[in-house]
Amino acid sequence: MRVLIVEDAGETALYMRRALEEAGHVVDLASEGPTGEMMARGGAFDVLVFDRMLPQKDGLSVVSDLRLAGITTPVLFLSALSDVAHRVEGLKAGGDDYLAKPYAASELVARVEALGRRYDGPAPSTNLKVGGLEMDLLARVVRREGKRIDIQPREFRLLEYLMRHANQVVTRTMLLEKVWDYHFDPQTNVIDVHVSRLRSKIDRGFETPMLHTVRGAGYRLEA
Amino acid sequence: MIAKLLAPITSSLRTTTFRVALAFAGMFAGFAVLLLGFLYATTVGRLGIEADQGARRELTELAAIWSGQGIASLNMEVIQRAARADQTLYVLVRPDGGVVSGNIDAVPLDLSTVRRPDARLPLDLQSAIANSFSYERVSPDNGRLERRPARGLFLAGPDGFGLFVARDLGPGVEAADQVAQVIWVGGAGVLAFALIGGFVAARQAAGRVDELSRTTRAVMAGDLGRRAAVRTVRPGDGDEFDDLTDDLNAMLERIDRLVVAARTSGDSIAHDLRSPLTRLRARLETALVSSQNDDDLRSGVEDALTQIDGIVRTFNAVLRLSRLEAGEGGQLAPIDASMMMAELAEMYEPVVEDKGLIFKTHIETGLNVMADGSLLAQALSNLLDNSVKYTHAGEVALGARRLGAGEIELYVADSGMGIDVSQRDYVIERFARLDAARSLPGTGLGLSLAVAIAQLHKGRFELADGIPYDGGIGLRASLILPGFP
Repeated sequence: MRVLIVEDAGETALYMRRALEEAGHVVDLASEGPTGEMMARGGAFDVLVFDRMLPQKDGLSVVSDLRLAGITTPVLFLSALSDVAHRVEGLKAGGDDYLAKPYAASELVARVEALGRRYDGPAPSTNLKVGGLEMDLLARVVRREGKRIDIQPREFRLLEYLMRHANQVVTRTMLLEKVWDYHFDPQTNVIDVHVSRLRSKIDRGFETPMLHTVRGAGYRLEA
Repeated sequence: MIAKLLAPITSSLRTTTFRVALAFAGMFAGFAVLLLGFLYATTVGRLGIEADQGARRELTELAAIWSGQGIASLNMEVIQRAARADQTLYVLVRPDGGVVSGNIDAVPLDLSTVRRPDARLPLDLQSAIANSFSYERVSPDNGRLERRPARGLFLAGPDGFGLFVARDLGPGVEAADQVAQVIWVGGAGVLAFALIGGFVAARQAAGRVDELSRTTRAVMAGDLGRRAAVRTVRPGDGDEFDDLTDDLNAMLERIDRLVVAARTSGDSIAHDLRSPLTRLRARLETALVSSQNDDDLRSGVEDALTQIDGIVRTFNAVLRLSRLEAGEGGQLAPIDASMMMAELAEMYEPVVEDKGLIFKTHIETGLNVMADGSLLAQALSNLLDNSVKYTHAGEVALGARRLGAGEIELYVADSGMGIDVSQRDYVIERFARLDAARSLPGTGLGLSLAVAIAQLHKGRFELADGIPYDGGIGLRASLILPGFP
């Protein structure tokens, strides 16, 4: 995956590059709004990562200009402003995801990969398939190796998200935001409990576990 | 010294109220003077015309005698008439200007300028010269000397003699004079009254404005608790100054709250982040200095990362709380509270059950509130987190119901250890941690956030006894919000 990072704080940018490169991605760096905009217009990137506050031209303006110019590459905003209102601003300007600073490297990588994945799949299908796990989105039926699995509506959405991001790390915050649409941080291990319930349904009685916990990061559904 | 004594007076004189009062008084007085002056002028004018006509009548009669019977007869007639006369004045003068007869002692005209007619021509009434003058006489009423206006005609004869006949303007003049006096006295009175009234009103206004400026100056000087005195007790009864005072006080209240929020959040951040930062530093130092192997070092760093996440969480909570308490944030829209509660229930049910507790819901349907759904969910999630954390046996219940007066209660009840009545005010303070809770992780901000969120929704937050269980009183934490039909 080719990623463009536009971030003015040099050390942070290098840290982000290292994290993404370790995950196997190719990273280009820019430190100013206009340079970042030029590179985004010219290069074939899979994901753009923009800091909100950039010298000369701020991230929000750059991204809304890119969108006006018809560039649809997914954008992840990074910002020290973490309120819901700021998040909404970022999404309105054309961002696809919003990550508040400070963040863990694993969170950044997971979100970048989720964004990159979103756009390279074929036309939306009514069936998802990961290894022996199948999901019929219309009939809302889940099967593993042909065996029907009884599943609650929310578990269905959770599993759908995991399947759409199969073989990627998905963080707890991502699940909270994308599956529950909550933008705060519960003190209890709510997500873990839900995931472990789901795991007991899809993995119990099968030889190989599919839903893995990635220590210090989140979860990964593997074929 | 004098300037100081005069200061309140001059400041009153500078006020708008005083200027407006003065302008109105001036306009009123001016108008009165104009109106009455016009009345005076027409009255006196009328009297003058009548006097002119009277004088001309007399002159015509006397001129007939003069031209018909000669100067001697005229003299006799003038003497007779002058003796009888009341309102009419006569003077017959010789060619040299000396008075022959009459009832005043001179012709009130500069006779040297009067052109003498040709001796061969007859008397010409048209050549009579009219004038206005005043003369002195002894008042018939009180015997005092008085000056009176009159209108006269002077006719110069071909024989060199001259006859002056004049009419007093009569008793009407007194009336007109009285009117004139009324004008002056009344005008002056009105002005004086307006000055005093305006001054008093201005004093009052200046006093109220002074109170406001004293307050603003005190606040500028740093006394943020200062408020302007409100004169009326009941709201809506006051004048514009009271409204202004109320607005000013409300503004100061808000500024005060913002400043206090900014200050306490700064203090709190310093206070609450200092100890975890100290711990974090110690942990890293220990890892660096005393690690025997890579595993020790690794676990030290991992601990440190966990601590940093906790610090960030606290930091975010403090920021969010400060913004909420400052009245910022929150997009209120009609939301279905029943649905929101059901979603929360669905989210928390496994968590509660995993802890070996019973989860119950008592959610009435169709409850609508004006709310920021995300904030409301956050408040309730905090309460649910608390219940899960502090309840070790029994149950946790999530409920939503209608109260009287259109209020809606959203609550979380548990069968935990509960909070003693005496400590319920304390626990909602920032960073409050009860002794029993200190060992458990938490920011100490969850309830403060719930309170701030309730207030943002014009509602309130209440703590009560929850579900009694095994000797414990339990806790019921409620957000009580105004319903939205």
